Amino acid sequence: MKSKKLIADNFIKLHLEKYGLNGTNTQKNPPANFPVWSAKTSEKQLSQITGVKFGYNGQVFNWRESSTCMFWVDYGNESGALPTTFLSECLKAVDQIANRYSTFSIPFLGSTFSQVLLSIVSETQHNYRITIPACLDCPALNFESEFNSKINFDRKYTTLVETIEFSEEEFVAFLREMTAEVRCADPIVAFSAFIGARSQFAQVYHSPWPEIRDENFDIVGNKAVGPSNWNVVDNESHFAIARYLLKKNKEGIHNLFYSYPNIFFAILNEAVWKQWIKKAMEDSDRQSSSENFLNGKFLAEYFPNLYEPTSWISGISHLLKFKEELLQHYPKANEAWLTPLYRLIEKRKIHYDFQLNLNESIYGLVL
Amino acid sequence: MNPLADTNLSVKVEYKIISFEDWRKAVMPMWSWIKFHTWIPIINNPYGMIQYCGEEVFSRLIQFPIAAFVDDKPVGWSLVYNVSDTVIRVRGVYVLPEARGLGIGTGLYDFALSLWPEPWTQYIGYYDSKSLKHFMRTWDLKPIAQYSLRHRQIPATKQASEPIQLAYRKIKLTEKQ
Repeated sequence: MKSKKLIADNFIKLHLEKYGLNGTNTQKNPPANFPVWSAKTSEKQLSQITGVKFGYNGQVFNWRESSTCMFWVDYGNESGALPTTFLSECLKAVDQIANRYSTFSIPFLGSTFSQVLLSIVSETQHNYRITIPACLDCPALNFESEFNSKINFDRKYTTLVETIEFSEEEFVAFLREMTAEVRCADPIVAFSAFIGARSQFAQVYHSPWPEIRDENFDIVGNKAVGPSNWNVVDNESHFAIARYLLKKNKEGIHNLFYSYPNIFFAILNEAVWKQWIKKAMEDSDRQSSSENFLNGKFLAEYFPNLYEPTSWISGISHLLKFKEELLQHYPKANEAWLTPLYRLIEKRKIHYDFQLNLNESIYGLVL
Repeated sequence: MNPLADTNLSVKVEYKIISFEDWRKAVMPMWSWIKFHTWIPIINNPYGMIQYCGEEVFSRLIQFPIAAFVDDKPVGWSLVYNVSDTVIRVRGVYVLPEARGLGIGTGLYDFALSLWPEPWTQYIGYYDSKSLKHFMRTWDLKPIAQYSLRHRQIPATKQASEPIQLAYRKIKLTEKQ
């Protein structure tokens, strides 16, 4: 008797060409009014963004051509060494960045990401700069005084600072141009891109912390509605800087976690993370997302001197006022892609001593 | 009023696989918040049901858009795809008002299920309470006890629509071709 997997494989093989998502029966929209960049990407360019694959309709590093193009992300299978610890993977990444660029810059926005990256690079001997956005006519986008008041570096660091002065009008012009060119529907991402574009050094762009969400938590009703169903959430907008760098042939690290995914895998392998998610699955302490934990208690374990990112939160509030306009012009450039967490850790050979997949009897299995 | 049902004649309904393009043109009335049928995405993944990872979605997911025909005229539509190697989901059932009450909705479900071989032994889907009651009666659908009612946001307006419930049905071998 044939195994179930064999029967499933044969059935899929039989129908994929016609009825797969890229099959002939699934007619896709022809490209229309979408800026499609068709220049061939060089190996050197790709080496900047490798780590996590992304693209559309199952192809890698290609461009959105129509509204129904399906954004996707692939974290790949385990290869080589397993991730070590969060801190050591961060340091390894910084070493690799320093090997690639003789001088690199890191943005200072007062966010936890900025604070963490600054703490890590300041422990190294690498040649780096700190890029500080200083909007001349919008205090919410000026982080100079925050840097001066919160960062207690000694005098030698003052020579490392690169201040980017700009007007809000200049940023808005960049935002519209970038959105049209690489379809970025997120003004926060566009702001990070703007700072990097103005820096004279290859930048490690501001990167949102990875997001892991329980899809069986009803946000509207604020309650659990089924057994935990944790998925990694990747947004199309978070790859807009990668597309921007490719298009402009510009150097830089578009996203620390996507360029060096072992940092993310190391987070998933940390005992403190495993303890949190195990508890977050219990009825008495269900959580909807990893966001607060990763931004808060998790980082505090490694960086006890982190302060509340109030300036960055004000900056985000200010930037979000542009979001409606972007979504109005580009309603289909903000897709999210979900990766089941239990499948990801399985593929990356990360071991959990508790059952992460509680929905097997309902959603089934990949054989 | 149901003109087809009122004829009191037995209506011969045919079920067929159709193109994705024809399907999304036909079901557009269900997507009240979109301007063009081309905005209907190739696939959706409500609440993380799809168990495939990365490129597996393109190498293992199969979708069959289907329609019910009366006298060669399409009167109902649905689409079925696999969320894993053992479970399938139907992406909505839409029957024209004049063809309702003839069992075409359940006929579409039966046809959708018949397309899948044995490893696929379960069907799941989300339902509002009215549809759930209907298909519990006509199609042996069962709400899943561990899953409670959840709110759904209408994408364009962000307004909450009627709560929905996850339900399932085991696929019997006799339903497979």
